[in-house]
Amino acid sequence: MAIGQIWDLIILDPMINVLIMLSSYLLDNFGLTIIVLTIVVNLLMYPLTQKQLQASKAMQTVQAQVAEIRKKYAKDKQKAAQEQMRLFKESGVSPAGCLLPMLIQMPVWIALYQSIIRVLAVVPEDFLNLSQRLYTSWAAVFPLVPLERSFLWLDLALPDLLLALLVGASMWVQQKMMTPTTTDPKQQAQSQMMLYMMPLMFAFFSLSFPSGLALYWVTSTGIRIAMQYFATGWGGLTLSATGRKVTQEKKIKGPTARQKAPLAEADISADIVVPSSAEEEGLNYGKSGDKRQDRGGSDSTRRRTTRRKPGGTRGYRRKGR
Amino acid sequence: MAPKSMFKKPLLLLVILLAGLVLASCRAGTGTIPRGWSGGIIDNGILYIGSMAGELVAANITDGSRLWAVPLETPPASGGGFSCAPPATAVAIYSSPAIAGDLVYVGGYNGKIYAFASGKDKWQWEYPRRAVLDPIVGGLVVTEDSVYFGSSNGKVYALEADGLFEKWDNPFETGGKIWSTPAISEDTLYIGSFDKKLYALNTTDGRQKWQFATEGAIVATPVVDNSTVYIGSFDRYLYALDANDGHLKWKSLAENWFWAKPIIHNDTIYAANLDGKVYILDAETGTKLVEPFDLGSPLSSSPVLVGNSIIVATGEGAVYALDTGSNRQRLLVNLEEKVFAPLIANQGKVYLHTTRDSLYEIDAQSGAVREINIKE
Repeated sequence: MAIGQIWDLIILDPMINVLIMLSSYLLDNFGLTIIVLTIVVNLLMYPLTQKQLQASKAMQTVQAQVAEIRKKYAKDKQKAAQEQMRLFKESGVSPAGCLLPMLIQMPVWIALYQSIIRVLAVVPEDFLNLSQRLYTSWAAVFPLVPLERSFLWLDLALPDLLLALLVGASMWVQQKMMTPTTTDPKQQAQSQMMLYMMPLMFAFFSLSFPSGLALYWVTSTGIRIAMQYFATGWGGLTLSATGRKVTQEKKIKGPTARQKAPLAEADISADIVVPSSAEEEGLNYGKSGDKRQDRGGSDSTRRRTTRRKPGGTRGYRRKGR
Repeated sequence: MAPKSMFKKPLLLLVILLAGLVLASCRAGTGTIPRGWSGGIIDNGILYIGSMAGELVAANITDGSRLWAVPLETPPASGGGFSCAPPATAVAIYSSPAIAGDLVYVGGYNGKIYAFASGKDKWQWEYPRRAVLDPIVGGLVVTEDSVYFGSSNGKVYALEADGLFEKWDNPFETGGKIWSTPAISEDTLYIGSFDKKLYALNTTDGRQKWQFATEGAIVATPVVDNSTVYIGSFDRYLYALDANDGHLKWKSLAENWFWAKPIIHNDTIYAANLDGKVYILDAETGTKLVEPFDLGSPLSSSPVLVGNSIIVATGEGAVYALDTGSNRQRLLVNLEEKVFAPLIANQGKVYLHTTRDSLYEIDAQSGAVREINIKE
């Protein structure tokens, strides 16, 4: 059996049939069906999403140290690589931790996306194709097609400008929340590119595809924004919203002032976030078996800010060095 | 993994995500470009067919040559310049041409009806002249003085055959798209709609005589025989209704949607279904006369009767002859090309339009195949 057939058999076709059947319980409203199924799928995937968010957060906590290492060993890339690996190991950060949950989730998102497109059959060829995906043992799905395409102001089979803008805006918000604080100019440039590229691309896709798909993207992004908020706070979004003011506050109030406020961009080069546990251990990266417990918890309780003097000593020191 | 590459992770993830979505878009979107699958009609040795290049093509069936072709219209390319699918530059034609007098009529997915002089590629008129209707998928029925068709805007239209005037005061409006080809018997027009109903209309003024509600959308073309209307629905039932008042006589369940037009021969109905089976029922009672023929792939192409054989083409291009006397099936030829268009029968031959835009002539007895040139 070809991989495409396996994909259809175990992922796509079940999702198509569930989508159609679900619509019959939701007033034959396909827009509502897309929203509900997206929420359900997101909830089912929540454990994986949570792991991914935690891994991202953990990765962000060591960004400053990574930047320092790269700066320090700029001329010795091999050494820099070794040091970074050691930092990750000792900090309990797994670069694969972000990738793996996402890779596992991706087939589900793609299947959901494909099933929406297919159920929103428009041209006769689409209907013939769809007819072969309906379960003959599930008689109720046959009369339900074609589904009602009207939802709010939308014809779900046609692109919609307003929804495309919503897709772009919501993705920008999500992307902004995910944007890591970094001192590395390369990474900053990369983050900035992603911050605008993703929303623009998806907004463009939304103008090229049925609005039912854009509805799925908006819903999905909204849910992820909420999940991300509960996992890591507003992230980069707060940073841009409050700017330097937040940094000023945190300087006055200390660690509690930035429970959910990442470093201000203006101060980012001066502040280095140091895990408190590491601090207590004398930043003992070289000490075997010492692992930070700060993986997904609140930053405020486990970090402190160290002011780096311009051109002066590093914001951290390695025990024994 | 080298740490340096780890820090390209966000970029990598996004690239993977985007690539996945784009690929998925291409895969899912392949069916969203209407390509058309017009059947044809034969008159005086000339076959008229709507090609997948958006042209009305006239071909000589004697020597298999293409006589002329005229594009319905060439709209500007769409797709925003960045799309997986090629831009649509031709009008998709699903509607089979119809002939009355010296005019050939054809409907386009662009929502227009065109009339050409049948002997040459001469445009006569189009309807509507300036605006467009919603896509026309079903075929046209032409009588001596009128043209009838349904549109995806849910309306049934009747035009004077010269195309200059609308015959009815207003088009008849249903509650859903119309992809069904009308059937006319005496002064009644029967047509199905996506609103799950079959309508019987007075051909003179377009007023409704009766309607019958099924549980599913209706795309198939009705067949009228012996005061009974037969119609298949997306609810998987084939219905037999009293042609006079729309009362249900019987219904018979299949395993998938009915798309193709059934055939009635010797009080027996042969109904092809998207489950890949041909159902053979008693036209009077709906009783299954024999077990359905399972041809293995979806049947959307309407079969034809040639002599005592029902010729059926599967979606995968296998062409079968079902002997109505012995109720036995015989494989005529396997073209191995997808077939959605209705078949055309003429003097012991069957003409079949594939999704590669090839037209084949098949001998209904021997299965001998000859290609008719309809491409440039």
